[in-house]
Amino acid sequence: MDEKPADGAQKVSLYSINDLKNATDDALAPYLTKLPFPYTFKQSHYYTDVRLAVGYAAVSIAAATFYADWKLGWDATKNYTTAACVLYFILNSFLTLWVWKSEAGKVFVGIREGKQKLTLKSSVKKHVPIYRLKVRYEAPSGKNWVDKEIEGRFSQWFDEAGYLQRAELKKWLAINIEVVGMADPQSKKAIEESIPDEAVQTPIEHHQAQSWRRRVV
Amino acid sequence: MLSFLPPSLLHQPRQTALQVLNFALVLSTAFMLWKTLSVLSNSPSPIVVVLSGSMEPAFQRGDLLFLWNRDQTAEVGEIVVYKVKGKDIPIVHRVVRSFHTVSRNPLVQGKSKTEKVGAADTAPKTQLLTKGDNNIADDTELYAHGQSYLDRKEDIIGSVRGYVPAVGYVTIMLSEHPWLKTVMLGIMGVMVVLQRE
Repeated sequence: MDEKPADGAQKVSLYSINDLKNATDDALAPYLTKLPFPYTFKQSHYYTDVRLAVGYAAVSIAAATFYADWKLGWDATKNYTTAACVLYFILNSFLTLWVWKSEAGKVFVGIREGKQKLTLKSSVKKHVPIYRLKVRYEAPSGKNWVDKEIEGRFSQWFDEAGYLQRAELKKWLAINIEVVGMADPQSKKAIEESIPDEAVQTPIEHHQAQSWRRRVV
Repeated sequence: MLSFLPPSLLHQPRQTALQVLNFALVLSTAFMLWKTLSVLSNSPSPIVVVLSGSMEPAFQRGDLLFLWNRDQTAEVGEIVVYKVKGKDIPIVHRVVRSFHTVSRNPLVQGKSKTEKVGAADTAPKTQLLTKGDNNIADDTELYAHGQSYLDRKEDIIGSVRGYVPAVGYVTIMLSEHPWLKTVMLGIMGVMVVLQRE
Protein backbone atom coordinates (compact mmCIF):
# COMPACT_ATOMS: atom_id res chain seq x y z
CA MET A 1 0.00 0.00 0.00
CA ASP A 2 2.57 2.54 -1.08
CA GLU A 3 0.43 4.46 -3.49
CA LYS A 4 0.13 8.20 -3.08
CA PRO A 5 -3.38 9.47 -2.47
CA ALA A 6 -4.84 11.87 -5.01
CA ASP A 7 -5.58 14.61 -2.47
CA GLY A 8 -1.89 15.54 -2.36
CA ALA A 9 -1.49 14.49 1.27
CA GLN A 10 2.04 14.57 2.60
CA LYS A 11 3.74 11.48 3.82
CA VAL A 12 4.10 11.59 7.59
CA SER A 13 6.78 9.87 9.61
CA LEU A 14 4.96 7.21 11.58
CA TYR A 15 7.54 7.47 14.33
CA SER A 16 6.89 11.14 15.05
CA ILE A 17 3.86 11.47 17.28
CA ASN A 18 3.94 15.23 16.82
CA ASP A 19 3.82 14.99 13.01
CA LEU A 20 0.95 12.49 13.21
CA LYS A 21 -0.96 14.83 15.49
CA ASN A 22 -0.34 17.87 13.28
CA ALA A 23 -1.44 16.03 10.15
CA THR A 24 -4.58 14.83 11.90
CA ASP A 25 -5.33 18.30 13.31
CA ASP A 26 -5.00 19.78 9.83
CA ALA A 27 -7.43 17.26 8.37
CA LEU A 28 -10.26 18.12 10.79
CA ALA A 29 -11.29 21.53 9.45
CA PRO A 30 -11.48 20.55 5.73
CA TYR A 31 -13.82 17.69 6.66
CA LEU A 32 -16.04 19.44 9.17
CA THR A 33 -16.50 22.56 7.03
CA LYS A 34 -17.63 20.48 4.05
CA LEU A 35 -20.36 18.40 5.67
CA PRO A 36 -23.77 18.54 3.91
CA PHE A 37 -25.90 21.62 4.46
CA PRO A 38 -27.61 21.74 7.84
CA TYR A 39 -24.53 20.26 9.43
CA THR A 40 -21.89 22.40 7.73
CA PHE A 41 -19.66 23.98 10.36
CA LYS A 42 -18.37 27.45 9.69
CA GLN A 43 -14.92 27.60 11.18
CA SER A 44 -14.36 30.31 13.78
CA HIS A 45 -10.83 31.74 13.80
CA TYR A 46 -11.42 33.85 16.91
CA TYR A 47 -8.66 32.36 19.05
CA THR A 48 -6.08 32.44 16.26
CA ASP A 49 -7.03 36.00 15.29
CA VAL A 50 -6.64 37.32 18.82
CA ARG A 51 -3.27 35.60 19.03
CA LEU A 52 -2.17 37.10 15.72
CA ALA A 53 -3.38 40.60 16.63
CA VAL A 54 -1.70 40.67 20.05
CA GLY A 55 1.45 39.01 18.71
CA TYR A 56 1.91 41.38 15.82
CA ALA A 57 1.13 44.36 18.08
CA ALA A 58 3.99 43.27 20.35
CA VAL A 59 6.30 42.76 17.38
CA SER A 60 5.48 46.23 16.01
CA ILE A 61 6.29 47.81 19.36
CA ALA A 62 9.68 46.10 19.28
CA ALA A 63 10.20 47.16 15.67
CA ALA A 64 9.30 50.80 16.46
CA THR A 65 11.68 50.75 19.43
CA PHE A 66 14.42 49.35 17.22
CA TYR A 67 13.85 52.03 14.58
CA ALA A 68 13.70 54.88 17.12
CA ASP A 69 16.85 53.65 18.83
CA TRP A 70 18.66 53.39 15.53
CA LYS A 71 17.59 56.84 14.30
CA LEU A 72 17.63 58.90 17.51
CA GLY A 73 19.98 57.09 19.86
CA TRP A 74 19.70 55.93 23.45
CA ASP A 75 19.48 59.22 25.35
CA ALA A 76 16.67 60.71 23.30
CA THR A 77 14.53 57.57 23.43
CA LYS A 78 15.15 56.46 27.02
CA ASN A 79 11.67 57.24 28.35
CA TYR A 80 9.95 55.83 25.32
CA THR A 81 12.05 52.67 25.54
CA THR A 82 11.09 52.18 29.21
CA ALA A 83 7.40 52.40 28.35
CA ALA A 84 7.84 50.15 25.32
CA CYS A 85 9.58 47.45 27.40
CA VAL A 86 6.79 47.43 29.99
CA LEU A 87 4.09 47.30 27.30
CA TYR A 88 5.91 44.63 25.32
CA PHE A 89 6.17 42.27 28.26
CA ILE A 90 2.56 42.87 29.28
CA LEU A 91 1.45 41.89 25.76
CA ASN A 92 3.80 38.94 25.75
CA SER A 93 2.48 37.65 29.09
CA PHE A 94 -1.07 38.04 27.82
CA LEU A 95 -0.12 36.08 24.71
CA THR A 96 1.41 33.27 26.76
CA LEU A 97 -1.69 33.07 28.96
CA TRP A 98 -3.96 33.19 25.91
CA VAL A 99 -2.22 30.31 24.17
CA TRP A 100 -1.99 28.32 27.39
CA LYS A 101 -5.38 28.95 29.01
CA SER A 102 -7.78 30.08 26.26
CA GLU A 103 -6.53 28.40 23.12
CA ALA A 104 -5.39 25.39 25.14
CA GLY A 105 -5.00 23.06 22.19
CA LYS A 106 -8.21 24.00 20.38
CA VAL A 107 -7.75 22.72 16.85
CA PHE A 108 -11.24 23.38 15.59
CA VAL A 109 -14.02 25.71 16.62
CA GLY A 110 -17.01 25.66 14.31
CA ILE A 111 -20.55 26.98 14.38
CA ARG A 112 -23.32 25.37 12.34
CA GLU A 113 -26.82 26.34 11.26
CA GLY A 114 -28.74 27.13 14.42
CA LYS A 115 -25.67 28.51 16.25
CA GLN A 116 -24.63 25.20 17.74
CA LYS A 117 -20.94 25.27 18.46
CA LEU A 118 -18.47 22.40 18.15
CA THR A 119 -15.11 22.73 19.87
CA LEU A 120 -12.35 20.17 19.41
CA LYS A 121 -9.19 20.14 21.49
CA SER A 122 -6.53 17.63 20.62
CA SER A 123 -3.62 16.34 22.63
CA VAL A 124 -1.14 13.50 22.68
CA LYS A 125 1.03 12.05 25.41
CA LYS A 126 4.73 11.77 24.73
CA HIS A 127 5.63 8.53 22.97
CA VAL A 128 2.07 7.18 23.10
CA PRO A 129 0.53 6.88 19.60
CA ILE A 130 -2.97 7.73 20.74
CA TYR A 131 -4.87 10.79 19.59
CA ARG A 132 -7.05 12.35 22.28
CA LEU A 133 -9.83 14.64 21.21
CA LYS A 134 -11.91 16.64 23.67
CA VAL A 135 -15.27 17.16 22.07
CA ARG A 136 -17.63 19.85 23.21
CA TYR A 137 -20.93 20.51 21.49
CA GLU A 138 -22.78 23.53 22.79
CA ALA A 139 -26.31 24.81 22.40
CA PRO A 140 -26.71 28.50 21.49
CA SER A 141 -27.70 29.03 25.13
CA GLY A 142 -24.25 27.86 26.20
CA LYS A 143 -25.51 24.55 27.55
CA ASN A 144 -23.19 21.63 26.88
CA TRP A 145 -24.87 18.88 24.97
CA VAL A 146 -21.73 16.86 24.61
CA ASP A 147 -18.57 17.20 26.64
CA LYS A 148 -16.40 14.14 26.40
CA GLU A 149 -12.96 12.93 25.50
CA ILE A 150 -12.50 10.37 22.74
CA GLU A 151 -9.37 8.46 21.89
CA GLY A 152 -8.19 6.84 18.70
CA ARG A 153 -5.00 5.13 17.65
CA PHE A 154 -3.15 6.82 14.83
CA SER A 155 -2.90 3.45 13.11
CA GLN A 156 -6.66 3.66 12.56
CA TRP A 157 -6.26 6.41 9.96
CA PHE A 158 -2.64 6.27 8.82
CA ASP A 159 -1.57 3.47 6.50
CA GLU A 160 1.73 1.70 6.99
CA ALA A 161 3.45 4.03 4.51
CA GLY A 162 2.47 7.10 6.50
CA TYR A 163 -0.34 8.51 4.37
CA LEU A 164 -3.44 9.81 6.06
CA GLN A 165 -6.53 7.80 5.03
CA ARG A 166 -9.17 10.50 5.14
CA ALA A 167 -12.04 8.06 4.84
CA GLU A 168 -10.88 6.19 7.94
CA LEU A 169 -10.50 9.38 9.93
CA LYS A 170 -14.00 10.43 8.84
CA LYS A 171 -15.37 7.10 10.03
CA TRP A 172 -13.72 7.52 13.41
CA LEU A 173 -15.15 11.02 13.80
CA ALA A 174 -18.61 9.99 12.55
CA ILE A 175 -18.80 7.10 15.00
CA ASN A 176 -17.62 9.07 18.01
CA ILE A 177 -19.19 12.47 17.49
CA GLU A 178 -22.94 12.20 17.22
CA VAL A 179 -23.54 15.33 15.16
CA VAL A 180 -20.89 14.32 12.64
CA GLY A 181 -22.43 10.88 12.42
CA MET A 182 -25.78 12.45 11.62
CA ALA A 183 -24.19 14.61 8.95
CA ASP A 184 -22.24 11.78 7.38
CA PRO A 185 -24.31 8.62 7.87
CA GLN A 186 -22.33 6.77 5.19
CA SER A 187 -19.10 6.99 7.15
CA LYS A 188 -20.90 5.93 10.28
CA LYS A 189 -22.71 3.04 8.62
CA ALA A 190 -19.58 1.72 6.97
CA ILE A 191 -18.04 1.05 10.32
CA GLU A 192 -21.13 -0.24 12.07
CA GLU A 193 -21.57 -2.85 9.35
CA SER A 194 -18.03 -4.04 9.69
CA ILE A 195 -18.43 -4.69 13.40
CA PRO A 196 -19.89 -8.15 14.00
CA ASP A 197 -22.86 -7.67 16.24
CA GLU A 198 -23.02 -10.56 18.64
CA ALA A 199 -25.94 -9.33 20.67
CA VAL A 200 -28.45 -9.79 17.86
CA GLN A 201 -29.14 -13.23 16.51
CA THR A 202 -30.80 -13.82 13.20
CA PRO A 203 -34.19 -15.55 13.42
CA ILE A 204 -32.83 -18.68 11.78
CA GLU A 205 -30.05 -19.11 14.28
CA HIS A 206 -32.53 -18.52 17.05
CA HIS A 207 -34.77 -21.22 15.69
CA GLN A 208 -31.90 -23.66 15.36
CA ALA A 209 -30.79 -23.04 18.91
CA GLN A 210 -34.28 -23.81 20.17
CA SER A 211 -34.63 -27.03 18.24
CA TRP A 212 -31.22 -28.17 19.39
CA ARG A 213 -32.17 -27.58 22.98
CA ARG A 214 -35.41 -29.45 22.59
CA ARG A 215 -33.61 -32.48 21.37
CA VAL A 216 -31.36 -32.63 24.41
CA VAL A 217 -34.28 -32.34 26.78
CA MET B 1 8.49 24.25 -7.18
CA LEU B 2 8.04 24.92 -3.49
CA SER B 3 7.01 21.37 -2.71
CA PHE B 4 9.63 21.01 0.03
CA LEU B 5 7.62 23.43 2.13
CA PRO B 6 4.82 22.08 4.31
CA PRO B 7 1.51 22.39 2.42
CA SER B 8 0.06 24.43 5.28
CA LEU B 9 2.40 27.27 4.36
CA LEU B 10 0.81 27.70 0.97
CA HIS B 11 -2.82 26.91 1.66
CA GLN B 12 -3.46 28.30 5.13
CA PRO B 13 -2.69 32.00 5.48
CA ARG B 14 -3.29 31.95 9.23
CA GLN B 15 -0.94 29.05 9.74
CA THR B 16 1.72 30.90 7.75
CA ALA B 17 1.09 34.12 9.68
CA LEU B 18 1.49 32.19 12.95
CA GLN B 19 4.78 30.67 11.88
CA VAL B 20 6.16 34.04 10.78
CA LEU B 21 4.90 35.49 14.08
CA ASN B 22 6.73 32.83 16.07
CA PHE B 23 9.97 33.74 14.35
CA ALA B 24 9.35 37.48 14.80
CA LEU B 25 8.59 36.93 18.50
CA VAL B 26 11.89 35.13 19.03
CA LEU B 27 13.79 38.08 17.56
CA SER B 28 11.72 40.82 19.19
CA THR B 29 11.79 39.17 22.61
CA ALA B 30 15.57 38.94 22.47
CA PHE B 31 15.75 42.61 21.47
CA MET B 32 13.29 43.77 24.13
CA LEU B 33 15.08 41.78 26.85
CA TRP B 34 18.25 43.58 25.86
CA LYS B 35 16.45 46.94 25.99
CA THR B 36 14.93 46.08 29.38
CA LEU B 37 18.40 45.34 30.69
CA SER B 38 19.48 48.71 29.25
CA VAL B 39 16.67 50.49 31.04
CA LEU B 40 17.38 48.72 34.34
CA SER B 41 21.11 49.41 34.28
CA ASN B 42 20.63 52.84 32.67
CA SER B 43 23.29 51.94 30.14
CA PRO B 44 22.94 52.03 26.34
CA SER B 45 24.83 48.78 26.16
CA PRO B 46 24.68 46.82 29.43
CA ILE B 47 26.73 43.84 28.20
CA VAL B 48 29.97 44.34 26.30
CA VAL B 49 32.75 42.12 25.03
CA VAL B 50 36.41 42.93 25.66
CA LEU B 51 38.11 43.44 22.29
CA SER B 52 41.68 44.20 23.29
CA GLY B 53 44.30 42.97 25.72
CA SER B 54 44.84 46.38 27.31
CA MET B 55 43.29 45.24 30.63
CA GLU B 56 45.23 41.99 30.97
CA PRO B 57 45.54 40.16 33.27
CA ALA B 58 42.18 41.34 34.65
CA PHE B 59 40.27 40.82 31.40
CA GLN B 60 41.20 38.85 28.30
CA ARG B 61 40.00 39.35 24.76
CA GLY B 62 36.55 37.78 24.52
CA ASP B 63 35.47 38.24 28.15
CA LEU B 64 31.85 39.28 28.64
CA LEU B 65 31.30 42.26 30.97
CA PHE B 66 28.11 43.32 32.76
CA LEU B 67 27.72 47.04 33.28
CA TRP B 68 25.82 49.21 35.75
CA ASN B 69 25.35 52.91 35.18
CA ARG B 70 23.19 54.24 38.01
CA ASP B 71 26.02 55.66 40.12
CA GLN B 72 26.79 59.38 40.01
CA THR B 73 30.49 58.99 40.75
CA ALA B 74 33.31 56.58 40.04
CA GLU B 75 36.13 55.83 42.48
CA VAL B 76 39.80 55.18 41.79
CA GLY B 77 40.29 51.47 41.09
CA GLU B 78 36.86 51.02 39.54
CA ILE B 79 36.80 49.63 36.02
CA VAL B 80 34.59 51.64 33.66
CA VAL B 81 33.56 51.43 30.03
CA TYR B 82 33.60 54.74 28.21
CA LYS B 83 32.85 55.94 24.75
CA VAL B 84 34.59 59.02 23.47
CA LYS B 85 32.51 61.31 21.30
CA GLY B 86 33.28 60.75 17.63
CA LYS B 87 34.66 57.26 18.19
CA ASP B 88 32.53 54.17 17.74
CA ILE B 89 34.21 51.55 19.86
CA PRO B 90 33.78 51.67 23.65
CA ILE B 91 36.87 51.14 25.76
CA VAL B 92 37.14 49.35 29.12
CA HIS B 93 39.84 50.75 31.42
CA ARG B 94 40.48 51.42 35.10
CA VAL B 95 39.94 54.76 36.85
CA VAL B 96 43.25 56.14 38.16
CA ARG B 97 42.17 59.67 39.12
CA SER B 98 38.75 60.90 40.19
CA PHE B 99 37.73 64.48 40.90
CA HIS B 100 34.37 65.16 42.35
CA THR B 101 33.26 68.76 42.09
CA VAL B 102 30.22 69.72 44.10
CA SER B 103 28.47 72.98 43.34
CA ARG B 104 31.11 75.61 42.58
CA ASN B 105 29.03 78.47 43.78
CA PRO B 106 28.39 78.45 47.54
CA LEU B 107 25.48 80.82 47.05
CA VAL B 108 23.41 78.10 45.43
CA GLN B 109 23.42 76.09 48.62
CA GLY B 110 22.47 79.24 50.56
CA LYS B 111 19.19 80.97 49.96
CA SER B 112 20.34 83.91 47.90
CA LYS B 113 18.43 84.18 44.70
CA THR B 114 20.02 87.35 43.55
CA GLU B 115 22.85 85.69 41.70
CA LYS B 116 21.92 83.72 38.64
CA VAL B 117 23.99 80.66 38.01
CA GLY B 118 24.13 78.46 34.90
CA ALA B 119 23.00 74.86 35.32
CA ALA B 120 26.36 73.60 34.11
CA ASP B 121 28.10 75.26 37.04
CA THR B 122 25.71 74.01 39.68
CA ALA B 123 25.45 70.32 38.74
CA PRO B 124 27.84 68.10 40.64
CA LYS B 125 30.42 66.81 38.23
CA THR B 126 32.84 63.92 38.36
CA GLN B 127 35.93 64.01 36.20
CA LEU B 128 37.93 60.85 35.60
CA LEU B 129 41.27 59.82 34.24
CA THR B 130 41.58 56.22 33.08
CA LYS B 131 44.37 53.82 32.15
CA GLY B 132 44.58 50.27 30.84
CA ASP B 133 46.27 47.93 33.34
CA ASN B 134 48.43 46.56 30.54
CA ASN B 135 49.23 49.95 28.99
CA ILE B 136 52.28 52.03 29.82
CA ALA B 137 50.62 55.44 29.67
CA ASP B 138 47.24 56.78 30.75
CA ASP B 139 44.41 57.33 28.29
CA THR B 140 44.72 61.04 27.46
CA GLU B 141 45.92 59.99 24.00
CA LEU B 142 42.69 58.05 23.44
CA TYR B 143 40.31 60.86 24.41
CA ALA B 144 38.88 63.31 21.89
CA HIS B 145 41.15 66.07 20.64
CA GLY B 146 41.76 68.55 23.42
CA GLN B 147 40.00 66.42 26.06
CA SER B 148 42.11 65.63 29.09
CA TYR B 149 39.56 63.89 31.32
CA LEU B 150 36.30 61.95 31.06
CA ASP B 151 33.01 63.28 32.29
CA ARG B 152 31.22 60.65 34.43
CA LYS B 153 27.80 61.59 33.12
CA GLU B 154 28.62 62.26 29.50
CA ASP B 155 31.22 59.71 28.53
CA ILE B 156 30.78 56.66 30.76
CA ILE B 157 28.53 53.80 29.55
CA GLY B 158 28.77 51.95 32.84
CA SER B 159 31.07 50.44 35.40
CA VAL B 160 31.89 46.76 35.37
CA ARG B 161 29.95 44.74 37.96
CA GLY B 162 30.48 41.20 36.73
CA TYR B 163 32.10 39.20 33.99
CA VAL B 164 32.09 35.83 32.30
CA PRO B 165 35.40 34.77 30.82
CA ALA B 166 35.79 33.87 27.13
CA VAL B 167 32.15 33.36 26.07
CA GLY B 168 32.13 36.66 24.17
CA TYR B 169 34.69 35.28 21.75
CA VAL B 170 31.80 34.12 19.56
CA THR B 171 30.88 37.73 18.85
CA ILE B 172 34.49 38.59 18.02
CA MET B 173 34.40 35.75 15.50
CA LEU B 174 31.11 37.02 14.10
CA SER B 175 32.35 40.58 13.72
CA GLU B 176 35.64 39.54 12.18
CA HIS B 177 33.92 37.17 9.73
CA PRO B 178 30.64 38.94 8.90
CA TRP B 179 29.42 36.16 6.57
CA LEU B 180 28.98 33.93 9.65
CA LYS B 181 26.19 36.27 10.79
CA THR B 182 24.27 35.82 7.56
CA VAL B 183 24.69 32.06 7.72
CA MET B 184 23.50 31.89 11.35
CA LEU B 185 20.48 34.12 10.80
CA GLY B 186 19.53 32.16 7.69
CA ILE B 187 19.68 28.81 9.46
CA MET B 188 17.63 30.16 12.38
CA GLY B 189 14.98 31.58 10.07
CA VAL B 190 14.59 28.43 8.00
CA MET B 191 14.34 26.24 11.12
CA VAL B 192 11.67 28.35 12.78
CA VAL B 193 9.56 28.53 9.61
CA LEU B 194 9.78 24.82 8.90
CA GLN B 195 9.05 23.45 12.34
CA ARG B 196 5.84 23.87 14.27
CA GLU B 197 5.84 24.87 17.93
